[in-house]
Amino acid sequence: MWNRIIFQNITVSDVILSFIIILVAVLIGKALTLSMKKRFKDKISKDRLNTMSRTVYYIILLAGFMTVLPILDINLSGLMVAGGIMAIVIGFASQSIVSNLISGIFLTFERPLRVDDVVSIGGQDGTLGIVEDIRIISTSLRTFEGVYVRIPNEKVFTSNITNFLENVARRFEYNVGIRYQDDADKAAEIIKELIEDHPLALKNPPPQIFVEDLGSSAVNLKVRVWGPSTDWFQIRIELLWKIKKELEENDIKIPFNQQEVWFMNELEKEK
Amino acid sequence: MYGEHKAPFEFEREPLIVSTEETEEGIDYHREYEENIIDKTIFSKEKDIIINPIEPLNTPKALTSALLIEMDKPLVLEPKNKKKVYLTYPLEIGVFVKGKKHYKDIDIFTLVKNKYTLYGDVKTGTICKYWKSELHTSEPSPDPLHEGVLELQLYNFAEEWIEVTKSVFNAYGMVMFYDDELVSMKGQMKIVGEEKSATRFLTEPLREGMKKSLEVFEKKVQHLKGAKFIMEGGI
Repeated sequence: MWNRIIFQNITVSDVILSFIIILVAVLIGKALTLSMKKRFKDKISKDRLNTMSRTVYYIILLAGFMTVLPILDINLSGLMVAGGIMAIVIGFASQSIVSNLISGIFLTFERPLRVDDVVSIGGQDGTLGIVEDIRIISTSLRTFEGVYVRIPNEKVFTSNITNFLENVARRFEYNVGIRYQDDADKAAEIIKELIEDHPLALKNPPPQIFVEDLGSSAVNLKVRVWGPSTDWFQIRIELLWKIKKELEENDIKIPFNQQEVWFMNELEKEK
Repeated sequence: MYGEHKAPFEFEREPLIVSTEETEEGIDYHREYEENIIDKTIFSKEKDIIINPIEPLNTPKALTSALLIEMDKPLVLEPKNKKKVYLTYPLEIGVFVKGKKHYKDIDIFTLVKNKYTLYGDVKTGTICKYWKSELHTSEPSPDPLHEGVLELQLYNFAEEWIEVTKSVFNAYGMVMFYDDELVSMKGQMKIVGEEKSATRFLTEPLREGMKKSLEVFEKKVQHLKGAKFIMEGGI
C-alpha cells in the first residue's frame, strides 16, 4: 500500500513523508519563534523581535519545502522556466502586492515607525494611533478609539508620517489669560511652582512662562512645558486644571471677553 | 525600618505607617503615606516581609533607567587627577515578600519629591530621574528613609581642567547597601574630555557590615543593557 504509485513516480509513502517534513518544519518554526519571543522579549524591541522571529520561521519553512521537492520528484530547473513565465503573468496581475511588499522592505530598513509608537499616517487628517504590527504587506494601527486600522505599506511609505515617540521629549503649551488688574509676575510665579511640583514636567529643558500678548480683554501668558514623549498628554491635562484652580485661589481670575462702550452724547436720565 | 520583619509588624513615623498582620494563609499588608493608602492580602507560607531601599527609578512610574544627580555647585578638577566626593541621591523603599526561591515586590514608595529631566538633546538624549545634591567632601548623614549617600570617585583622564556639574548613572548597575544609619552606594566617574565621561557603580559597601539591598531592576539583563552610562551630552 505504501509503495502504491499515485502520480508518475510518487508513492503514498513519498506524500506522507513530505507531509510529515512540512509539518515538522512548521512545528519547529513555531516552537523556535515562540522560544525567541519568550527569551528575548525584555532584551530586544518588539518590532525587531517580530521581524527576526518571522524571518527564522520562513527560513525553516523554506528549508522544509526544499527538502520535500526532490522527494516529490519536482525538478527545480523546470520550475524556473515555468516560474519565469509565471512571474511575468503574476507580476502584471499583482502590481499592488509587489509594491506593498517592496514598500514593506523599505519601511523595515528606514524604520520611520516601530511597534508601540504613536503615529499619524497621512498628514493632519490622517490616521492617528498606536502601531500594532508592521507586516510585509501592511501596517496595522489601533486608534485611540480602539479601532483596528490596516494600511497597505505602499500608502504608509508614500504618506507623511508623524511619529510622536521618535524623540524622547516634546513640548506643549497653554495660553492663560488674566485680568488687567492682576499681577502677571505673580501669576507666572504660581504657574512656575506648579510645573516644578509636577514630577513628570521636565526640569530641563526648562519651562517658559511669559506675557505674550496684551489682548482686548486679558493679559495673555504663554506657558511652555517639556515632558517625556510618552507622558506629555497626562501632564498637559493635569497641569491645566491645577493652574486654573491655583490662580483663582490667589485671586487671579481668568476674565470673560469684555468691551467698554462710550456714548458720544450723554444719555438723558429717564424720568 | 529596613530589614526582615515577621508578622505582626508595625512601623510608624509621621506621616508614614507600614504594618503587617498575620492571617491563616499569609499576611495582610497595610501602608499609609499622606493620602496614599495601600492594602494587600498576601497568601504565603512565609510570614516575613523585607523592607529595603531600592533603585530610585520606579515611582511615580518606571519611565527610565537613568539617574541624573546635579551638584549644587560645580566641581573643578585638575588634569590627570582623581578626587573622592560624596553626593546624596533620592531613595525609594521596596517591600518584598519571600517565596520558596524568589522575592516579589509588593509595594514601592518614596518619601521624597520626584522629578524628571532630559539629559542631552531631544533626539538622542535620555530621560533621567533628577536629583539635586549638595557636594560633600566628607561622608554626610542624611535621613536613611529619604536619601542615600553616594561615594563618587572622579578620575580626570583629560589633559585639561574639567568642570563637573552633574553625573548620570545607569540603574542596571546599581548596588545599594544599608544599615540602621545609612544607605549607600559607591560609584566611579571617569572623565575623558569636557563633554564625555563614563559612570558606573561599584559592588562594595561604604562601611563594613552593611547589608546588600534586594534590587528591582533585573541584573540578568545587565550584560545586555550594560551597567555603565556614557555621558556624551556634557558633564
